Amino acid sequence: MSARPSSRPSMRPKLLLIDDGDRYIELLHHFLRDYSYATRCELPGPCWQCPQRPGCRLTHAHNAEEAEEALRRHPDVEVALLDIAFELPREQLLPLRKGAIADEDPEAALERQRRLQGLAILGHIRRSRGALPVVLMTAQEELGYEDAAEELAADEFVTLAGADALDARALGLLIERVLLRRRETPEAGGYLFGRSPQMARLRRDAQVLGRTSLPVLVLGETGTGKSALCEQVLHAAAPRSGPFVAVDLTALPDSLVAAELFGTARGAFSGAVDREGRFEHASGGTLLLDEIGNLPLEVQRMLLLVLQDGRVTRLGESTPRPVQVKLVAATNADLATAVRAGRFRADLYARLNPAAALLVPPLRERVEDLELLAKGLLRKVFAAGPNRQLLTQYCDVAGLDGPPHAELVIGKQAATGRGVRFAIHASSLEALRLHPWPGNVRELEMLIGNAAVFALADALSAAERKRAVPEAAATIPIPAKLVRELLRSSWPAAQDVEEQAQSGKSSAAGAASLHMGVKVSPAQSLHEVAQDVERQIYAELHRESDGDFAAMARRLLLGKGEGASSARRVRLRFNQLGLRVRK
Amino acid sequence: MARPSSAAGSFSDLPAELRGPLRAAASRLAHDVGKYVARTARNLPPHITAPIDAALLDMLCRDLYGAAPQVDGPALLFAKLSAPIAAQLGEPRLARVAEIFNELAALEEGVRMGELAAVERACGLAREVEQLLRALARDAAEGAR
Repeated sequence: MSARPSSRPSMRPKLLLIDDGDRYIELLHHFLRDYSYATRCELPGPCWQCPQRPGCRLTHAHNAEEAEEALRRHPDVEVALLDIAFELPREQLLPLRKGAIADEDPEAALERQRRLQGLAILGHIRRSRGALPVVLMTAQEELGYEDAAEELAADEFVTLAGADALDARALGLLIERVLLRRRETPEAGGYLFGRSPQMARLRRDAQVLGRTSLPVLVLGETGTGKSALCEQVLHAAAPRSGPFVAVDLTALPDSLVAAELFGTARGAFSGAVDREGRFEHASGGTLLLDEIGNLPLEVQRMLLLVLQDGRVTRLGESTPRPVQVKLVAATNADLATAVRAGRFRADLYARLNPAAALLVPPLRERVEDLELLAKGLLRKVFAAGPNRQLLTQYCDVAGLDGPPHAELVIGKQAATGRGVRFAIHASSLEALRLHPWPGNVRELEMLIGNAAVFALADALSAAERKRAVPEAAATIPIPAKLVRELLRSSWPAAQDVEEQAQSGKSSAAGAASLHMGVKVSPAQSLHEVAQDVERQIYAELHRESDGDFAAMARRLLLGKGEGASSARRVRLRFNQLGLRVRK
Repeated sequence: MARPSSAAGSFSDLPAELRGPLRAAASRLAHDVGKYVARTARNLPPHITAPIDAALLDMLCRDLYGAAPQVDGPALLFAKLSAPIAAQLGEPRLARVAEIFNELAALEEGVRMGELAAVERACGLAREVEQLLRALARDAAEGAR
């Protein structure tokens, strides 16, 4: 095939068509050109401009195997369009669901397999991609078999295109509705707002600011979901044609930040080549500068010029280039204090629109959202990847029909759909509500993922040993003990953070109050550094207290460490740090 | 368009062992003939006042007459798929669809030449075929319950 000029990555939603013939693809290519299409070829699209297009069979997927190949190649597919009947040779057909063919002669069975092949492909897709929206391009009266409707009813991400399947305008509207719904589901990467008043206000403000060209400043503690808000709400709020580009300023050495953001001209410095910076890369879209408080002062001045002029000058060049970028800055630092301390330019701070800053509240201030968040996060945990494979394996072993679907229920709450229900005890939910969540939503996501996967692994072992009753297999209890243990160890410093927040002391001040000489040694990660410091504190306290864990608890927990449970917690953490009890 | 009723009996009057296969045949007619014959027609305006795009005209001709007209056209497919139903039921909708395919055959030359009146009439007929066959499949599904 001849080469075509490459273009910027398309920001148009990507569709995958799965159809044995060419009728739909012709229609889509002619009428729906606001989308990009997942093809099986290496050339950039669009197909309708390709000289190789006539007779090309790489434009879409014709069967299950090609669909799998296209989905592997294009993990960014947002909607699959699937025909129902496939006139394919027997060897290219997937078998139908168990029990779908009964007491029929082979010819009739083959005919049924062809007429319902779309359902078999749907089941195949669901095993790896639980939340991929699929528009089944057929109407109920075209299905022809009774069991088809039941099969479809079990899948909440399927939409029947109905009589309008071949009306391109109606199909386009349907695709837009599906995309909108998809963006609101957590398993598909949608932002989980919750129902608390703070989040309702945040949603309203973010959607308004997202539609403007104003810079946006997003503030909030670590793990609250600032980056996700920027990508899934601020960037998505307006029909921008460019990409979403995120730059973590803590991950860049100071000497490289300017080159990374503004680009370089050949010869600007030793080894410099002609290269566009992140501003140019994000042109037409959104640029997120994460942890803006870490921006070196010299680069702050350059950024201010870009914000004032709407033009960016590559290092080593003198001619500025115009850029149209929606700038979003995020930080968990107190920028106003940094301005007063001279670490952040006041004029840049003013340019970042601080009056309309979006504050993402910490999870502990919106515990009313916790149940909703936990339910959404559990569905996200099992939406794709190895966790989904584990869930699929469990459904197979336990003999559960239908697409593998996971749902969190509280106590004896009734489930709303089919699939596997993960039941969490009401007391566990209460424990979650009382936890201070220093790691915020990110910490909750990890905890829910760990709890569900551990419980699922246990259930899978039991099912493999045939110890599960099929009717009961659809519910997997998450033991309260498991939740308690995970809460204790999910964020070891939780208690400290809470108390430091109350007392206004930093961790360094906390260590100082114990009059300890702590040596901080560089390591591979901050986590390792922190753990090493914590280990030194525990070892020193243990020595000073002659191995009395109750005394250690009293000193560590600022007077709140009375009682056997505090001593047990300190002893558990002591052991987790790999320290040995003094003889 | 008014929905014709079955003249000499309906799907629900058939013996139980025939209802399932005839339901499948009716749904196949709706999908393989009705749906695809109207593919381009349903994307064109009801009143055609200007010549249509060459690519669209090509698509329309393939929908109405097949890629190889004497081999795989929708009229031939309709005759083959409707035979089992016609053998059991005096179904006026099938008779009407057969008439439409005859009229479409008569319009073929004009459609291929892009004559506005012929194209407009052919599109209207294609949409009528789709509606008739969908209604037939719906009745067959209800009768099979």
